[in-house]
Formats: sequence, structure tokens, C-alpha cells
Amino acid sequence: MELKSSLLFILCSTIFFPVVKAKIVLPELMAKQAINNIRFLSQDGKYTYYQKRSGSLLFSTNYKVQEMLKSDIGTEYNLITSPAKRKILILQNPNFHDFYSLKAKHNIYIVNFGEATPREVGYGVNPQLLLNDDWLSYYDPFTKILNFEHTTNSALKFSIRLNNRINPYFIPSVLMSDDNTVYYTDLGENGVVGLLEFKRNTAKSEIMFKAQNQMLKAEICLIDDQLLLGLFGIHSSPEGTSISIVQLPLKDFTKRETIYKSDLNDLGHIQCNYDKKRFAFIKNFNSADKPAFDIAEFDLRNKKVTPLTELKTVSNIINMDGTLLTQERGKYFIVKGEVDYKNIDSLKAKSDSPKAGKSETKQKEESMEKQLDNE
Amino acid sequence: MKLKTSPQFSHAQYCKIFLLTSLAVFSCKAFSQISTSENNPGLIESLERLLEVHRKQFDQNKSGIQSNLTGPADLSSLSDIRLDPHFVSSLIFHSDDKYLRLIQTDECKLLSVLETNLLKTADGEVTSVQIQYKDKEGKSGSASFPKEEFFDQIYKIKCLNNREFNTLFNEANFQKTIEGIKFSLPKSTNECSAIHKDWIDNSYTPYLCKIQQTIKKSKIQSVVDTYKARIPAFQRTYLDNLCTNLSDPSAFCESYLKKDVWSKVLSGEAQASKLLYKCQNVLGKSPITATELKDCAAKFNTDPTYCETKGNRNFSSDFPLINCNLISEALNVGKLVANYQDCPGNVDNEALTNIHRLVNHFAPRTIQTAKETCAGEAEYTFAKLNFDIKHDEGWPLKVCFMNRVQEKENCIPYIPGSRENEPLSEDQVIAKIIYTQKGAPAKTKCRIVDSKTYNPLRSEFKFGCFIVYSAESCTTLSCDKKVIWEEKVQPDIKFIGKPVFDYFPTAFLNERYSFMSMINEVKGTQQRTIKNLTDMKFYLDKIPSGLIHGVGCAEDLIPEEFSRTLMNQCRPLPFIIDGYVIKNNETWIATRSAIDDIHTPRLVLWHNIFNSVSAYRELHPLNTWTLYGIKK
Repeated sequence: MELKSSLLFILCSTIFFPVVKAKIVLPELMAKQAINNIRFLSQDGKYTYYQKRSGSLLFSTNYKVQEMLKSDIGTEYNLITSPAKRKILILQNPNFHDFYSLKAKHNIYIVNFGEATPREVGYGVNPQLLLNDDWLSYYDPFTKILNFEHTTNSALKFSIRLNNRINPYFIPSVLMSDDNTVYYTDLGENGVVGLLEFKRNTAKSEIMFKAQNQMLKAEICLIDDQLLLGLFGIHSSPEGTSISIVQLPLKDFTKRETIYKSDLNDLGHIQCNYDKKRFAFIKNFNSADKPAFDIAEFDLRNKKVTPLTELKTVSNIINMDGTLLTQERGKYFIVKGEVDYKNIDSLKAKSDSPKAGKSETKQKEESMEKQLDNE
Repeated sequence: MKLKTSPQFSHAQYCKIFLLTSLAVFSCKAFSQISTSENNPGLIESLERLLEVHRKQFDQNKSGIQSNLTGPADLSSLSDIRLDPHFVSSLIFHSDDKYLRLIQTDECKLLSVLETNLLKTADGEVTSVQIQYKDKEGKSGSASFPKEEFFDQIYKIKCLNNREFNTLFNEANFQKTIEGIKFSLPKSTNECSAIHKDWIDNSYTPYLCKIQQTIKKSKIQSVVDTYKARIPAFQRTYLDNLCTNLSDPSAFCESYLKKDVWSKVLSGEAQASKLLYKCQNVLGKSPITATELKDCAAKFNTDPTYCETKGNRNFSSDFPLINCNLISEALNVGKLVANYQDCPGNVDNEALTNIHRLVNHFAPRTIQTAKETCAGEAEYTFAKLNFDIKHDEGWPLKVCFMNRVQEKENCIPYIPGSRENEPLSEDQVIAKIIYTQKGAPAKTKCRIVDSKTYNPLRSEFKFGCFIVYSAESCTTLSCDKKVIWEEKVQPDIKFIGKPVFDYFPTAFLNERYSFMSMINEVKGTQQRTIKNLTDMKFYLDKIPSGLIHGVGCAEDLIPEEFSRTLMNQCRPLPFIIDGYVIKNNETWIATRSAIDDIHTPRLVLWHNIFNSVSAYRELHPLNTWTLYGIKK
């Protein structure tokens, strides 16, 4: 009888085993530095940018620490990078804990990637690096002006005045596909989101697309020389989600291809810059009444959607130098990427011999020379 | 054709015929079935003729009775007293059908309805009562008595309780009597019909409806005000619904059986503010009538998407707003007291909006609702907290000017907006500066106007002092504001300051001056941390006026609008929780973030609240869990 049961169990296990899916377990981000102080870690583990509660922003490489910026106690910093890895933008908010404002403008600095000497470039919100870090943009929510500045030649500047008068908290999505062309989102008089194309040579904006109603938000990004437009229904509206793609340079936006559609309102937060053929976004995997938000990856080649998390409560995707992270209950988890920053630090510690140190310095010098050439 | 133009002349009038000809076999229902047919104009015409005939008979009968000078002076000398049939038929013909429902079964009820002026005759309000009687010798006769005299005497003979009812509802006692009456709310149609029937049978109903009619129609404002002041809004609305629908149980029940907050406001079950301000903004007018309020409720129910784009006109806040049904669900369980409209979009520090809402929940004050003053009101609330604990330096907004005597720049505090009894209000501070520094008369007053209104070509702007602000967008941090005195801009007068302060303490040293401590000290509130969902539900359930407030990262609280794309990115956003709803085994929390319109709460899942507070805690200097229950 016992033997019979055992055989039955083995048989069942054999039949059902392939059907049982492995649960996705995300490793927690660990580093030698306190995670809540870290503002940027390069994927190769060379550079760590972190802050102190005293109000300093510090740069650590090869166990050398340099103070980059100093401000009042409680100052918060955020670092903005891009896959080009040439520049880093720094947003400095000295009133992070005593002036809660989604609109308040902050100091914006720029620094060469892997370096520690920033210079001030502007005052606004949502700074972005554009077009292989040749350009930067930031937004002024009070004047509704989107400012652009060349990262190496600050004399090259231009700006776009937005139309939005209805939502004081709206921040436009912005990207540049070439030196002459900017794509950005804006709200119409009635609050409907639109995608616009701005040409520097004519200084004119043209509406490429207008959403059907106010209950849709738009996100844009560049992937593999194509423009991706995500439309996501908000506030439990029945709009659902659609993501479409169109080849650049843009000829006819109406001929864009819809590559993904869902009846549910996904959260969006599209991340394009970690892979040439894939992008990630936050998808509702359950229902409108009982949403389960997880990170999904869309493959442009086979149009397949693959879940990357099974947390059901994901609210963010962070692309930190090609590694996808998510923050949940105050902790960071690695969603995609093999990096273990704690081990990298350890390895570096082990290889901190004069020989290895020399090699590191050499690498840095080479990298600096390369960047200077690019300038 | 006539039936179409006089739709009310149908069911009610036929019911009256039923009452009038109580001998008739036809039931009221049977008549109403006939009445609904539009192919019967002849019947309507005959009714009109009937009315004419009745009027003639009533007049003849009345003058006949009144000319009889030999009638009795005292009802006690009579053996059989009945209301005159012509008088009764006139009551039935000319009274509102709903009140006739009260008199169908009970003679005493008839008398109380008559006494409370709810019934009318062909002459209008009843001033005299015509009766038929038999005297002790068996002789029949008719007589007319002045109303008061009639009731004074008749209650000595019959319906003795009516005299007591009168006492219970007189000016001295009505409040206590009403407090003792149970105004039942039905949960089902059957229960509601039973409640309606109980009210019809209730001897108090005529007296209650008299009060309702007085509130609605009396021209003596002091009486109306007394009733309004002493009868709670719920009971007043209940009575209005009852007395308006005495003859229509389904109409009475309709508002109670609806679950939406808009209908509950109309039925008095929910605070009027939950619908009032939204309706005012939608219609773009204030005040609004009861009919307009009903129209708004109907619109919000029939077109739920209407609220997504309308409802915060002139009062800047996050956009788009929320579907009417979802707002209704959140407002249904919400308990935040909000008898005003604020404008988060014009207040730069979101903490000020949260503080304004919390302080005015626990210690409501009269707040002006206008687009010009809404931001100043929030700032005033916080300024007062600082001044109340003698922490004047906690209020940073200052007006700076060149002091001609001292020959240096002076800066003095001001509170934005205009307030008569507040010497620190912007208009009074500027007027004082103009007086002391610019030689203006002592009684100079400064008017705050927007740049679109200010027109120096118009005579009203030729002389005097004006504070002109940008009509386009004016917030604390970004406002193009000018002081103009006798048509000249005063360039040395500048407005400076940024309201920088701790909402929750960020250091032990300045703990007393954080908002959390200030509200406890000034308003006597008590607070404790809320750690989990069970604790949150317990707090909201057990403490009637208790709220939960906190600060969390906007990226987790409202991820559909704000995205975290950077390591340790957080935009701290204060919020208030005032209820929760359970749908499909999921708890949705009624939350107002400090950027939301105050009358547009959103339903948020617990993990959004928890993650937002957790993320902010990681960055907080004291590692504080910034989610607190607050009660008084």
C-alpha cells in the first residue's frame, strides 16, 4: 500500500512538475554604504555617489572619497544619468524636510560621469539628459517653461513654453531625437494630454497626437531609433492601456504601430534605456477592482510580455546604470541585472593592492581621456 | 390637452373627489387609473365645472351661516357637532393632497391638521370653522366659529390629547420634543414603507409638518432662524422629505434607499458640504438653490464622468479629478469636516494645505471661500498656530520697505489676504506702511485686486491703495505682486519669505515648533502612530472624529501620476485619511493628498500608503514613521 502511494506521488510529481512555475524571488540590494544614502552606483562598481545627512554629496571611487557639494543639514540630492554615461545631473533640494512642494524649483548641477567637480546649470524640476548627454533639460512649473541647454557649450540654449494651465503638478515627458528635434508632452486647455514635436530651426511646436480624453496619461521614450508612446488610463477610468511605436525620423505619426494593448489601466513608468530590444513597464496582472501591479518586460522582436516580478504591489522601476531596481516597503530589490554591489565592493577591497590600484587609476584615466575626446 | 398643461390635476384631484364623495364606491386607485388616460378631457372639464359649482355653494353656505345671528356661542351646549359638509368639501378641494392623507382615518388628526394651518378652503387659510350641530333639544343648525375659539372649545369636548400635542410643539418645547422623536432610516423598501405608514399614523406628524412649512414659507425670518438653529440639519431635511412626500411613500423612500453620498446630502444623512462646494464650482455660482443642489446630485449620479473634469473650477488642484461614483464612495465613509473650499495648487508648501484641513477639522472657523482668498486662508491657519504659541519667528512671510526715518530697510510680518480683525493681514500691514512712510491719511485702506481687475483708467482705481497680484498664477513663492498708491507703483515695498518648517519633528531640538506639536498644544489634540492596516481601521472605527495624517513619497502614494526613476527619489507629500471602504475583500482607503481638491478624496490601497511612508522614513533624519492618528 505504501509503495503504491509512493509511486502515485512520483507519477503525479512527474506529471505536474513542468506546470508549476518557479516563484520570482528578487534579491535585495546590498552595499557597503547605507542604501538610503546612496544616490548612484555604477554597474561596474567603480563609482559610488552618496550623500550625508549633514548636507554633503560625496563621490567615492577606489576608496577615495571627495566632497562634491555641501549645503544645509537635511539637503537631499538626486542624480540623473543616461546610458551614454558621459554626464550626471544633480538635483539639490536644501528644504527637503521642511518645505514639501511638488512644484518647488531646486538647484541643478552637472558633472562629468565618474568625476567630482560639478557646476551649476539651472534652477527647476525634472532635469533630464538628452541625446547622448549632449543636451540637458529642466522644467519651471511656475512659468511653464521647458529649458534646454547644451551640456558642453552653455551658450547653446533654447526653451519651450508649455500650454498647460489646468494641472499645476503636471511635469512634461521630454526627449530629443536629434539636435533639431524635441518631443514632449503637454496638456491642452481642457486638460487632455498631447504629444508635440518642436523643431529648433523654426522654433515651432506641432501637435503629433492628442489623447481622446483627460483620463489618459502619456509617456514617451526612445528605443532602437524608434519613438515609443504609452497611453495609460488613470483614476480607475475604463481607458485601458496602449503602447505604440514609430520609426524615427518621424514622417507620419498616424502610421505608428500598436504593439501592446490592455483593457486594464497599467501603471506605465516605461523604462527604455536598459536594453536595445526590450522595455519594461508596470502592468496590472489582475483586475481593475483588485489590481496586482508588477514589472513586465516587453520584447520588441516577438512582442512577448514577460513578468519580471511577482510582488503585486510594485509602484516603481529604477534604471540605475542598466540595472533595474524597484523599491518596496522602503527596501530596494534587483529586478534585472546580475550585479551584487556588496560583492563588488568586497572584490575591490580584496584587489586594493598597489597593482590593482594602478590598474583602476589607469582605467579611470583612459575613461577621462575618452570623455575629453568626446567633448 | 388641458391634462398635459396641468399635470398635477390628476391623481390628487381624483383622490379629493374620493374624499369629498366618501359615499362613492370608487377607490382612489381606480380613479387614478382613469386619470392617467389622456383621452378623457371631458372629465377634466367636468371637474372644473364641479369646482365652480362648489365655490358657489361654499360662498352661499358661508354667508348663510354667518348671517345667522342666533347661533350658539358655546359648543358645550351642543350635543352633536360636525364640520359643515360644504366646509369639509372645500377643505378637500383646496388643500394639498399630501395633508389629506393624514386625515383619512382619524377625526382628531383632521382637527390637528386643520389647526396647524395645513388645510385650506376656497378662501385660502382657514380663519373660521363652519359646523353643523344638534342642540340638547334635538334641533339642527349651522354655525361659524373663529378658528382659535373653535379649537379652544372643541378640545374640551373631544380629542383632548391634541391640546397636549400643541403644548409639546410650542416655542418653548419643540426642541426637546423633536430630540425625543426617532427619525428612523430605512434599509429596505419594505422597512421604508412601514416607516412612512407609521409617520402617517403618528399624531405628531401634523405639528412636525407645520414646523417644516414655517421653515419653508414663513416670512418672519426670526421664527425661521429659531427653528433652523434649534433643529439639527438631519431632522430638518428628514421632515422636509416626509412632509413633501406624505402622499407618496416611494418618493419618501427614494432618497433613503440610495447609497450615493449626493442623495444622502439631499436627505440630510451626510454633511451638505460634501455636495455644496462641488455643485457651486460646477455651476460657477454661489449661493445655489435647493433645486440646483438636487440637479447637481442627479447629474453626478447619472453621469459619473462629469466629476472627472469639473468640480474644482477657480480652485486649483491636481487634475483630472475622480469619477463621481468613486468620490461618492470615499465621501460616504469620510468624516473630515470641510465647510470651505481650498486651493492646493496656489499654495506652494503642501504641508500648509494639510495643516489647514486638519486644524479646521478639529477647530472649525468661518473660512471665506473665494479664489482670491483661498491660498491666504491656508497660510492664515498656520500663521495663527505660530502666533498662538508665541513663536512669531515661525511665520516667515514679511513685507519689506525703506524706512525713511531710520534710512534702512525694515521688514514686518504679514498674513496674505484681507481680514478686518487681523492687524497682520496683508491689506492692513500695507496700509500702515503707506500711512507711516508715504504720507497717506491715517484711515487709508488697501484693496487686494488681481491684475485683470485693476484698471487705472477706471475712476475706482484712480485714488487709494491697491495690492495688485498676477491674475495668471499667484502662489506664495511665485507671485508678481505690486503695491500701488495714488496710481504709482511703490518699488521699495517687497514681499519676501518662504514658509519653511517641520511638519513632523526632524530634530529633537526644534520638536516644539513642528506642526505636530503645535496642533497638540494649541488645539488640544492627541496623536499616536498607526503601524498597520488593522490599527488604522480600529482608529477610524473607534474614534468618531479621529483622522489619520501622514507624509509619504508621492511616487508610492499616487504612482499613476508620479514615478520614481532614481535611487532614493522621493517627493514628500502630506495626506489625510478619514475612512475606508471594503470592496472585493480589498480595503480602499479614503485619502486626500495635499494636492487633491478637498472635496475630491481618492481611494487608495493600503500598500500605497505603507510603501509611501516606508520610503519617506528611510530618508527621514530621525527615521520617523510618519503616519499618525489624530483626535481631540
